[in-house]
Amino acid sequence: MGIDEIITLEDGSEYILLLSTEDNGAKYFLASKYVNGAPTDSYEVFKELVVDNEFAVEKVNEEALKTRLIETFQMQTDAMTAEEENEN
Amino acid sequence: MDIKLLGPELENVQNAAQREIDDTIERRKKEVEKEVLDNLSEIASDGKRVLKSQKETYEMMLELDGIVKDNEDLFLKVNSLCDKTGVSLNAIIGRMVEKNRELRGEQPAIDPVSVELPSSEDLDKKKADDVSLSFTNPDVPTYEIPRIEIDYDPDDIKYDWQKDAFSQEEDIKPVVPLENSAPTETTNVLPTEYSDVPSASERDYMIVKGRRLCGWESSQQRNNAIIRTMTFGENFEGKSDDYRNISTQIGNLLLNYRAFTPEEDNVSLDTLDQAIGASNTLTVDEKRTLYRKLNVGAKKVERYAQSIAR
Repeated sequence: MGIDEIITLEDGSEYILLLSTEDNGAKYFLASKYVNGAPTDSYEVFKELVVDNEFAVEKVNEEALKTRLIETFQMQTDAMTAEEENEN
Repeated sequence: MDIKLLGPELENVQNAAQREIDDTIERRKKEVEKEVLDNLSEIASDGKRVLKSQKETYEMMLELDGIVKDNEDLFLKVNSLCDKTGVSLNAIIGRMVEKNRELRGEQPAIDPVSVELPSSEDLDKKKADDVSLSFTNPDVPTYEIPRIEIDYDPDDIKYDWQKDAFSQEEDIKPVVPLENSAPTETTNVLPTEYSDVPSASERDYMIVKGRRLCGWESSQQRNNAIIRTMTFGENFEGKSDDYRNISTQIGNLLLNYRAFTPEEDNVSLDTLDQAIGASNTLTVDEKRTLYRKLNVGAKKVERYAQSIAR
């Protein structure tokens, strides 16, 4: 799985993968719930899993890990916006 | 050459000079006044505040959003002030968003929360229904499909081109031969259950059933989605529904900002002005303090605002 992908989970819900990072060898995504063809304010941090050769995701609920990952995503966002500002 | 002015001549020159000075001052005052009027949208005291109503409205929304996100006490304070104006902030913002959608000929937005998706249990049941075989006609004999047991490592299977067969094909055998079993068609036997994989309700992960690449219209659109998620999605945990609802609506308003013009919706804008006017009671210092205190950070909101204003 990679960023800019829209994934459909087995409950039918869709998420768009916006950012990714690695932590202790595992891959994590910042994902926004995708409804009616657009991202919403509802977001999740997912851990990528492979179960029986199928991709799966697990919601990150552990507070410390989630905070650490969000900080990493925030840094990516800040770098992205700073880059934009320089371009303009 | 010295010119000596005496009596009435001196008075005349002094008067003329004074008139010129007065005229110049008056002219300059008018110029400044015109400049101010012409540049009403220019920056005010702190170099950032924009006076023009729409932009001020927009900035007020940012401040309100900050209040909503950061400080529930202040949020309540603003809310109570809104109450004094007799206008519900929630209702106004929601109305504006809907009105803008109507003006653009769009359907009212569906609240994501209200979208009912089939539960994983339903899907599991459907999947089970899809694959189950049932014969209800008594004239049709029933068969049980024998399970196949493979007692060797699948990696060991080699295809023998001379025999046109797999090397260990003979090892594939039914576990329980049944009297009325149908002719064995091993190639058509598909597993109908995966006993080693727990059902969706029993595990804490979800299988990804589909993937497709998102077709962003532009990198800007993609960046906006990321900034928006990081700005408005980050600190929702543990907040009340009202809190979340208002933040979401403000976020929607920001997204609609580009399409929004006062001419399109004068009444709503006036009403909104009344409502957000309440936050004018905060001093510049209070606003600055609020910005500093924001967990999410006004800077991020500002960046988001800049990104959608481009």
